[in-house]
Amino acid sequence: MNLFNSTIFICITLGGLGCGQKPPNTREAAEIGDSLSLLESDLNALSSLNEKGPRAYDASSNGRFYQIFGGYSGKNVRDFINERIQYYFKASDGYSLSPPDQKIIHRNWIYKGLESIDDTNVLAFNFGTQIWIQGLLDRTTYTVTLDKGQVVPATSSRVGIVGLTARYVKYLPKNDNSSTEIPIEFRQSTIIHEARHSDCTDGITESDLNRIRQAQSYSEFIHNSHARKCGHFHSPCETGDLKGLLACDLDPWGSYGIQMIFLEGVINNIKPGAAAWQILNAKILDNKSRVQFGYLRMIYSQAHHPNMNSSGLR
Amino acid sequence: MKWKNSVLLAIGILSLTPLYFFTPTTKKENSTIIKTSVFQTQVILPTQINKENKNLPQKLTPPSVDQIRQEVASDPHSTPISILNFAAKLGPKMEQALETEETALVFFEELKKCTLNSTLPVSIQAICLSNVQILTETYPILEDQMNIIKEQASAESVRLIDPLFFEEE
Repeated sequence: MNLFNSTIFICITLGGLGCGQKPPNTREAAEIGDSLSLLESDLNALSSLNEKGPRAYDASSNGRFYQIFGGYSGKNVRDFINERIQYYFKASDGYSLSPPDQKIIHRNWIYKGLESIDDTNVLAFNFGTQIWIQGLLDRTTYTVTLDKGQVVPATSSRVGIVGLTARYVKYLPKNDNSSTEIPIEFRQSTIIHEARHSDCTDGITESDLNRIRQAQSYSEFIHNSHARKCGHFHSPCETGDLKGLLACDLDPWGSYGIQMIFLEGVINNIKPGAAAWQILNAKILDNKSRVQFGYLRMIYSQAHHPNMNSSGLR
Repeated sequence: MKWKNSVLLAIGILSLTPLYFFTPTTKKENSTIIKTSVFQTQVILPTQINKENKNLPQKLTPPSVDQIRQEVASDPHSTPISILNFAAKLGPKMEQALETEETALVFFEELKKCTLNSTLPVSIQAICLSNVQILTETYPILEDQMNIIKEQASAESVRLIDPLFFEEE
């Protein structure tokens, strides 16, 4: 199934400027309005982030929030995101890739491909680094075409192209047909998670690329490649309830870890036990269980200071 | 007076019974809530019925390990919706428990069972344990019990909540 068809896309820039929109029908308009304007409002809301929570967290966590985000303000967090994500689009609109190669890493391995990420699956995904690495593997530069022919060359992992699905919403549907409001920090943390996927930590070498070329499966790539921190690809969980599932980070300071630190900071601003606190707490604990490296070592080991830089081909 | 109260109670029950039984399953919880509120405004309720009605719509139903694995298999990236739903249900119960010690003591037992149920996913056990901790912060009378729970709980769930717990020992 070739989904690289030419579809018209809706995207926004981080500054909140629209970059061209097709005339949507009512249903589409509602969906587009819901996910992209909700995103914009979520990012804008960072300006009112209360620094107290992150500061309180850092007092007992070896300053990790500061080390990751460069400060405690919403501007610091927004800058973190802006450095790593340049484009957002509505996932169901798809995208077109040039050259139309089918061998995007991930694509032929665990996931069937990005086409499996539809509106019923994830909240958001960032495939900029994958396309950039695929370009390195194929010795070319791939370009992604977004809304109205906007062409995005994937020349760096920090190109940051994030698709939002229909699950990027304000309310959590419950089993009894009622719903609960999802705290804004939950969605903000999702964007932070995706932003981290734009970091090629420690860069990537030709020998890394050769190993990736030779890998027969995603698992082989993850375990043999020294470059899994380039894009912070998720790994199969080695222990716990999710053992064997592609839902963990083996290294510290991957997307789950960074997202967890943000949430640990902001949850301090919320009344413990309250509805919003419960959702964020559940998210923190789920993330913590996915960081296989171990929380204590991440927080307290000086040897594992978070490296927030991003490099290219070395 | 006694017979007047009985008549009022009977009228209340009869008028709401069809609403309860003929509402689709998913709506039954809502109708129970309606029933409680209507009773409270129209009839002097026996305490027992009031308690039952209060607890009915809020019964915790933690997801199983299998359910979570299925959800993660289809969407590895996100926190399973069943975990979030479980957390969402805890919110109103905790808010009630934080209001009165009596409610807190009852809910504490429910959280204890959940925390110590090793067949549940570790993240669910940990969610329950974290709420045990919050209740204990508000009601220090529960501290000894909380420490016992922590000692009996799975090491994995305690580590998620309180990574220094084992180091302190």
